[in-house]
Amino acid sequence: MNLLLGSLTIGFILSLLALGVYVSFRIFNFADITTDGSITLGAATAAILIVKGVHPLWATLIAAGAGYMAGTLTGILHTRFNIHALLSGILVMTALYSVNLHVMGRSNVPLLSEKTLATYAEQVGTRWANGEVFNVLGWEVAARDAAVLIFSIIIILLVSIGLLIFFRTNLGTAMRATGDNPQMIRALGVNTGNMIVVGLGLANGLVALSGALLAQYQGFADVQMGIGMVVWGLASVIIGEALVHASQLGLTIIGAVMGSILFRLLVAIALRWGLNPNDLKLVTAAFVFAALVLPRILNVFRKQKAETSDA
Amino acid sequence: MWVAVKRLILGVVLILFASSVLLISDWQHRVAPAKPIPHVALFQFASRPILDEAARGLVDGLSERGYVQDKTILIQKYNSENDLPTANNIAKAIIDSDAKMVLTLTTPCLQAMASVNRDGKLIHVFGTVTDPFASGVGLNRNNSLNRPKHLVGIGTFQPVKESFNLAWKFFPHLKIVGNIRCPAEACSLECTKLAREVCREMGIELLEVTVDNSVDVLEAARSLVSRGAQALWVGGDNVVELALSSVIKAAREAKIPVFTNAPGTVAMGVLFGLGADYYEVGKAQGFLAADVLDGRDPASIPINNVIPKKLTINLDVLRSLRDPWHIPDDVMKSAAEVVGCQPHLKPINKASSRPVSRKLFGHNYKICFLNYTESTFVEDAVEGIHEEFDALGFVEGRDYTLRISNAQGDMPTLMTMIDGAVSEKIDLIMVSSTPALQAVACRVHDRPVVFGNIASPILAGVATSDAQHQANLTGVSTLSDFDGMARLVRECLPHARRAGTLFVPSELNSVFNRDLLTVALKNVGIELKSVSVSSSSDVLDAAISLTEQDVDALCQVNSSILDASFSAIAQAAQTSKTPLFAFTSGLVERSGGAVGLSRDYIQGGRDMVMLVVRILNGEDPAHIPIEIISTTILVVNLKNADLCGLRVPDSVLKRADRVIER
Repeated sequence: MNLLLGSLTIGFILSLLALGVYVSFRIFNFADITTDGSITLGAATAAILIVKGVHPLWATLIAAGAGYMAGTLTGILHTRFNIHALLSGILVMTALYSVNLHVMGRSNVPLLSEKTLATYAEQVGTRWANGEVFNVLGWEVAARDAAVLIFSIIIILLVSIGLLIFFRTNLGTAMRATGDNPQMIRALGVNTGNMIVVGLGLANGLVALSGALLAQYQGFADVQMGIGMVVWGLASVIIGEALVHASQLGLTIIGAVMGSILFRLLVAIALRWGLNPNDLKLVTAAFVFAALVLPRILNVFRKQKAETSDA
Repeated sequence: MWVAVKRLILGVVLILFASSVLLISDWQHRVAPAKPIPHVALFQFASRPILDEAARGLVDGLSERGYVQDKTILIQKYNSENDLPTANNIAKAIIDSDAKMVLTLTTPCLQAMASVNRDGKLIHVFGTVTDPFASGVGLNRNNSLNRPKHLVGIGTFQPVKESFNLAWKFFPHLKIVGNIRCPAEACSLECTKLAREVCREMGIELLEVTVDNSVDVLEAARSLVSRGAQALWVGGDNVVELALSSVIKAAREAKIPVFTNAPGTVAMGVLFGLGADYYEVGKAQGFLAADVLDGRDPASIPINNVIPKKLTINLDVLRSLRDPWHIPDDVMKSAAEVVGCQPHLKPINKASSRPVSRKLFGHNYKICFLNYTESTFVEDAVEGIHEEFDALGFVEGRDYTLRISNAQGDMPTLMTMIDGAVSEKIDLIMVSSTPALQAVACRVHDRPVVFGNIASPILAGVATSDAQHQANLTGVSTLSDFDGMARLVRECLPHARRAGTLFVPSELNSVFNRDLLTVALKNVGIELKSVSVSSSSDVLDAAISLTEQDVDALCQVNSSILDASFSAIAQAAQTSKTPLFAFTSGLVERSGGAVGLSRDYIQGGRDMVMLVVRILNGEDPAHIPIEIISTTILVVNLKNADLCGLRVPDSVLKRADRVIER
């Protein structure tokens, strides 16, 4: 039960990362590698502010703001200096490594004895459950774990609804059009460059928010924590697409969240079944492969069935 | 709308399926639905090792019978910190609390509680009492069932006779034994009465002094020594036991041994302690309490004497004695614990052969080793862990199961790994590398953690000093031997005035190491110059600039970036003929260093196991200070030494653990 709660919590926290990648990769068709740097930037900013005594809520919001700045920087490199999308991401990501070191002042900031959003959620949870543990269907559940999970679900709900509303406004629609059909939207008098800058800012803001929450949940920020994150974000988005198999905005957003959760659950199962530690990444790759291929096979089956019933 | 829901079904179903797979894997860890939780008060007189042991046994005994702390029973702990008035106040507070049972440890607690609980509001289960019948709470020695109906418990009369027999066996010419006691202690008096009888039978003269408080103990002990005592004996006396180090001090001055009836005292310097295993005594009391909680009538249970004997011996004491005390092999074998080394047995760089308490075998402890990413250091540590378990006689699969998990450098996976270990009811977690330690420290508070491969637990935020650390964890740090290195540099280069090192400002450990090396070198009169490096591509340039600053040696501190590009430093050292010292043996063996003084990471693994065994044996990790890896390896590479112009003195070559020939 602990394992389920823990992996759901991480799944939800990282679904913010997936949403960020979804915005840049799917809405703007922009493979944005800044993610690796901005998730650490979010974690580092939040961690150092919390250590300095800033309220964790503000620290988290400022961290998201820092991510936004990083994203706009990538956007400016791409649109104003005509640098290739991948390269501008790489440049900002590389620079962020040093920036993160400067932000933290060292490579690793522990948060073990600080008050974070996670510890607040734990306090509330213990108060509600009236004790450290309660019982769900026979499993013992630590109140703090459940509280942190509920807290992260609430954040994801808020963020997803916010995104959905935002992409339905005029600005949001213009952004989506920038990704889908730039010529058309330029003809309508929209500056696509500005759209990309703001959009990447938004994407990296989400990613940094994810990093800030992750740091508070795991109890430290480390300069290496972002390495490879963009890959998991992409995997979640693509798994999500394969799951919902639709193009409506709301569904794709839910898909990205579900993709992230499913991905973490699969990793947890692999770990729970005690596989050889050296095979972990191989098995995760196999899982992702299965998640991508299964829906397609199911579709083929469905079609065949439809055909036979038509005949 | 329906179409939208249909689109989501596949995802939701898959998530539910994956969740249920996880839950089903976890099926056997379900617990029965909670009944109304009984409240129980646990009342202990002071924080002494044996009382803590007994309290631990008590809680374990209850949980073995299904009354698990905070889950199926609420145990409120009280401690009067060795103060009788406080004990009386606590007793009143317990009466007014909503506890329905009180468990007391020690005679003063029994007495204080019994006097306020005369009308039997609470069921009272007592333990860790030498002689309950002498404590004046209305118990009848001849018919133990004739007593207040709410009062039940166990007595633990110290094995006084056996202790004197043992002392006589170790030294047959024993004629005079000294004893110190506090006259206010009823139990102590009972022990002494018995001792007088035993001594009369054995023809030993028992010298007695009494003290009113622990401050007078040292003087009292010295007076016994001056009256010719050949050994000092301390019975079950709370006051004297608190000042036991004074007794030992007086005995050491006179080169005579101290023996006690408290096995936990040998580590302090007592020759042997033969007494009750208070953990087992506590457990017996816990079983008794569980019986009563299950509904057994306390009035129907007789009061028995429970004395699970435990012998512990300290061999270090034996060597410094005036008289020829000798411990026969059969007694050695029967000891539950032997502290100190036998003279002929000196484990150097070998798995330790300290005997392990037999009660640890057969439990199949579930241990997991969590790690953030692969490295040779970790592989060495794992090798050491297996070696040490083998050497101690632990059999994998029977006595322990060690599962190694590796997050392969992925932080979210690290978190999932830890949750997995927690939900699998792992007994103990071993953890390597700083991020993994931090994540464990944040997530795990309810089971012991032993860490290794951590340069500085203080920088990692889990400790404020070696002794002050998060309560459930302790471990082994890999901090380099800076003083040893400073002496080594001085020995190899008697005229050196200045040494240099590179460091990486962004690496916590690198800066930390440089600062410590600066201090250590300064102590031997060498100034340390340092040049900063930001990435591996700058290393060669930085090393060359360092060698141009008139340094007599390069003494490179550990850093992950610099270790990876150590060859560049070696190249600069060889071009400029500057001797190169390193803190990692591998760098000397393979990457161009001349002399290396390295922590032995394999030994680090063995040291971790020693801590694991201490914790499994019942020690509280909160009280185990963080250790540094206990051995260092001196490696000399003569080929590299020639290349960088160093003539390694014979004295260094002689004590080197490994010499790589030209």
